[in-house]
Amino acid sequence: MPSRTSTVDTSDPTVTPRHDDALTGPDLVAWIELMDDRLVHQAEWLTELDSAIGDGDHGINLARGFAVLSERLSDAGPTDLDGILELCSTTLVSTVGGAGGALYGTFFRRMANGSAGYSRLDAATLAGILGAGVEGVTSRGMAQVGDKTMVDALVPCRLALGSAADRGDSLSAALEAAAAAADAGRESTRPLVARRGRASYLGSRSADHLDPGAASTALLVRALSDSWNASALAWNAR
Amino acid sequence: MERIGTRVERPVIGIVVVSHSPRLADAAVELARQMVQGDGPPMVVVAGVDGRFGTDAAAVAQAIDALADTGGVLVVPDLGSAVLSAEMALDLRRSSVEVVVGAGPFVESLAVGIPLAALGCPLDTVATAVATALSTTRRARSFRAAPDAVIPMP
Repeated sequence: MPSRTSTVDTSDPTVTPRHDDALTGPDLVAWIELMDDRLVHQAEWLTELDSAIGDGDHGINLARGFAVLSERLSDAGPTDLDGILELCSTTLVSTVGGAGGALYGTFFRRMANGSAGYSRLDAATLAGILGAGVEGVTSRGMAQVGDKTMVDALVPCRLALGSAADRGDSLSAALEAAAAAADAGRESTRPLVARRGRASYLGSRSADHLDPGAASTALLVRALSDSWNASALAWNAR
Repeated sequence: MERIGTRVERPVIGIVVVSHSPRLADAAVELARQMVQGDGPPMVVVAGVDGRFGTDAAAVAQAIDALADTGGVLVVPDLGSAVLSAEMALDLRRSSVEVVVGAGPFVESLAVGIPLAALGCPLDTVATAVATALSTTRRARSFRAAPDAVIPMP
């Protein structure tokens, strides 16, 4: 079994390691800021997806929510993990509206509850906390894999992250596996007939379209992986 | 021996209306109020997000808390995501007043729920009436869809 890899040079005692292969508060803020940046460009695509099988506001609503959130986090916001995640929840609930607000709000709130007392999240801890978030979404939306919802991206993502943590993968590798699984989950929604949400009113006409919720979820996980890798690269390049 | 049948004064229940649109909510409430003399039950309408279609779970939680001194709160959501917001509000509220998220269709729920609440019916009675509110319409229309009926799509 491979040993856990680490980007930290612990031989130098004068260096306070920031990258001990675990997420801290600033990493979560960087994640949200990157998601906000990406949504500026991806909102139109998400809205296109949502126009095909929904009410056509997913991209613009999510972009607005993350813009407000990013501002609140950078503007003397909380620095502890659960405080940041809780602010994500309350902000998205009140700015996104609709199913996206309630479901992402629930996702972040359950992760906030799970991370109370932690100052850092390694791959295994993150897998557990993400699992709590995913469980919150599945129970609130009463959705399962195959219903053509964000759950189709979230559940494979959680499983991939958990497997990577069990293998002892680095956080970087674990997050890449999670993002790849979420992307694959998004693609898996294309042939599906929606069984939840307003797309389900369309019956079989909802097939042959990507689910916008699964698409935004995959973007969110990809943003976490990319922001962590950028931060780890910067640390290694010092 | 205790007397049986003593009337217990019980506060009227409150209703929180959760809609994607203020105009939809206001019109549905106005329609339902036709059957009520006087002010009707205490009600709060939570509709829209930032002037757009949508529902805000935090605002629903505040509305529930604002009705905390009633005899219980019935939440009446319109579309599915309003139901999600209503259920999330149960996590976010601070008061401990009894709350039921109504299981009936929006217009019928208000048309049945507001008059019954105004009459002083308890929360469980109103919630049951609301959950079966559509059956009256269905009976009138002789509509008998099987529970797993497949709706043919064009």
